[in-house]
Amino acid sequence: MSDKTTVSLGTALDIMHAAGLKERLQSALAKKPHIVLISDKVERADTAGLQLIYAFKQEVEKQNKQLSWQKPTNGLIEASKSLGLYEHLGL
Amino acid sequence: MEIDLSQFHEVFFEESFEGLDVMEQELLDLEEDTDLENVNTIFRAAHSIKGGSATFNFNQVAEFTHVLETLLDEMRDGSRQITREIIDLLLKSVDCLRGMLHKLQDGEEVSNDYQELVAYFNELLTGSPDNKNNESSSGAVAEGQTAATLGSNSWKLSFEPESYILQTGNEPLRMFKELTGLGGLRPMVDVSKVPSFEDLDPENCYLSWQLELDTEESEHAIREVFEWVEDDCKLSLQKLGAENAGVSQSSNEVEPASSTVEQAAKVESAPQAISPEAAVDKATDKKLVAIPKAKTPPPKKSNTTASIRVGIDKVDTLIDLVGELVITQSMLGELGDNFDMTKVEQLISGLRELEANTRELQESVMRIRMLPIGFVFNRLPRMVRDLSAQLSKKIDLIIKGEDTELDKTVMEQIGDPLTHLVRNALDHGVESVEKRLAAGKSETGTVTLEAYHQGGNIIIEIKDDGAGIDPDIIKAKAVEKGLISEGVDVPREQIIGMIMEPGFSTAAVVSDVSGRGVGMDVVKRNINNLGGTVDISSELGKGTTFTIRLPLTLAILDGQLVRAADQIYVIPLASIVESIPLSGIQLTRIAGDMPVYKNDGEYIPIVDLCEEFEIETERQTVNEGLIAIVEGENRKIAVKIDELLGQQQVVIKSLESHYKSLQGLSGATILGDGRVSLILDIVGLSRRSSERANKLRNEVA
Repeated sequence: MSDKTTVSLGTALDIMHAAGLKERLQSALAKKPHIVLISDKVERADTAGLQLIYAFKQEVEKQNKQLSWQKPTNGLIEASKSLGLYEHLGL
Repeated sequence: MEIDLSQFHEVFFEESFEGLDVMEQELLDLEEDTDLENVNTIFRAAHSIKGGSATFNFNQVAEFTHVLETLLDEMRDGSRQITREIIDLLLKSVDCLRGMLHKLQDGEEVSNDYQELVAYFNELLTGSPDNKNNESSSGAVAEGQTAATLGSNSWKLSFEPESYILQTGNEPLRMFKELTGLGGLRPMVDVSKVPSFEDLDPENCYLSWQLELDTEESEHAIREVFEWVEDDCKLSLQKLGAENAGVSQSSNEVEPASSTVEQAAKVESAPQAISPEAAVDKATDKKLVAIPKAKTPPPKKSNTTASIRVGIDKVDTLIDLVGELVITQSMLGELGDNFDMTKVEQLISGLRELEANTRELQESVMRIRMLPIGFVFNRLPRMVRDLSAQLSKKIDLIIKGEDTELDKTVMEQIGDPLTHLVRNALDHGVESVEKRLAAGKSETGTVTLEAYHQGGNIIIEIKDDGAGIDPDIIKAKAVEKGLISEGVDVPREQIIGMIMEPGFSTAAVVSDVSGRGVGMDVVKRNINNLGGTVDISSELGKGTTFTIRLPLTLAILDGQLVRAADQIYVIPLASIVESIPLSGIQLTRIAGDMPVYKNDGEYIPIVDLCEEFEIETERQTVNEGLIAIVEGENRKIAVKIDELLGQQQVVIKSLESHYKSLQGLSGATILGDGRVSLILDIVGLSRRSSERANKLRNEVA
């Protein structure tokens, strides 16, 4: 059995979806030691969404677990760069 | 996905107009008592309009409200004294904004009239009259600071948004992208305040930024990016490396290289303290006189659907009632499935319950259309304020019962007559200060506006403590006009009531102030059209009271059912004067073979419903049946019918929406037995019959 679990970030990593995503991330964290963020469909990302991922990454590291990105889109990368969060997010 | 913002326009307009009403109200309160909370409320209203208009790209409105806000901000932090002149200016701005929004709502271009006000604001804000060309959207300060800041420079920005900023739709990402448009941007994010994942509220912002920007643009251009969040963040700008001397001529000397928003606010008011404020205000005020008053355009018929705001409690009541209805229905359904004669009692009680539920439901639905009359009353204090200044009278307006509810349609139509009556009370009712003092009254007159429910009606009283109406003058005038003959004894109330007759100029009679356009007859007609009445009582030297009585709703009518041949019609109960059996009266015929009934010296035309609506009848003699004398718009007609049936409340269904509009009929209703009954429109019917009589006469000739 794989030790990975995946969480799809959907098309919009934004404030509208942040609360729902937080719950999904929380349950993913409880399941497996390695969480993969599927981010190939993200068309839009905003401060709330990226801030949430940052806090999640901190939590993952605190629990000695692992977080990785799967195919982050240009839009996602651009947004994280514009906010100065690119490195913080490990993109 | 593109969102079509135009779908939200109506809501924006509605909210903005509400906001403007609030602003107006608070400004008037402010005049009486300086309270910081008033200023805060005004500021919030202006801020919402600014935010909304910017979202919808109504840039002129946004630009104007922004300048307005700057002044309000100064009032809020106490650096600007609140004077009557400033309140005047702000009230004029409210008018101006209302005009702009009306134009936008109607899809018209906004004229540049507002620029004049913007210029005054800027003048007031900077305290220097030569800043006239300054029509910048962000006010005078930024302009002043940026005058010498052109050329390529590096800026260091510190941007610390409030935690709620994301919830207001302000997205730092978008601002940073705009900054990138100005030049090279290097963002450095501070994540130290981000809480643990568990404690994080995903909709709050815990981040703050240090930004380095290389741009040729001015400080003003940079600040403009943060224009919409300047109250929701801590922002500071610092020029790096370059000569600081020119940065801010008006900037703080202690920190020549830095000018935070907070400092800016102080700087802004500094020249004000030096120059005599009164002088500036005076100059501004003089100019204001020339500003054309932004008239609120008459509401145009637009293709937008009118909406109504309903309190959640009313909706909850409806839901409860529908719940009850469903229970009763299922109970009856079950009864029907296994019915036997032993359950008749149960059936009857079930049906009774159903009837009660339906009635309650109907009442509750009607209540949804009910709005507090305060919506109409609230526009009056402003008018009283302006008009009493104009008339040099001292007048207090007392409003009572503003929570009294009435139908939205009635309310929309009562606004103008009511305004007119209050104007009338100010103009003709309350005397000048000198006259009041001479009459031994206090110098301040009082106009009281009171609304309350009485039976199925709403009563609105407009009461003044002025000079009252002199019946002798009215009588003399009436004799002169030929309305009554000299020497005839007419009751006092009837004489006073004559000021509402057409062609009776109250201005010439009651006072010497005239030129108000519409007369009292129009007021009376409008109220009558709503199915209401207006009574006047007046005591010489003590005051006058106008009492308006209106039906609570136009959707339900108190009707008298009448039969003509085999048809049943509804006559509005309020319009019936009397009914007389035909056998007991003398009919006369005048030119055109029109039958008339002579009553107390007046001839009342008789309209035979069967003839009018071409109903076949087997009526044998002319003396069968009876006539109902009805009145509409001061004209009486006698409607010939066969029988008076019961009286009942009927729900009016519009004919236009189901068939077409017909003269003489105001609508239709469905009777208890399922038959459709037409509701007579008395005014239309009398016109229709006189047109028909004319036609007949011409044919005979």
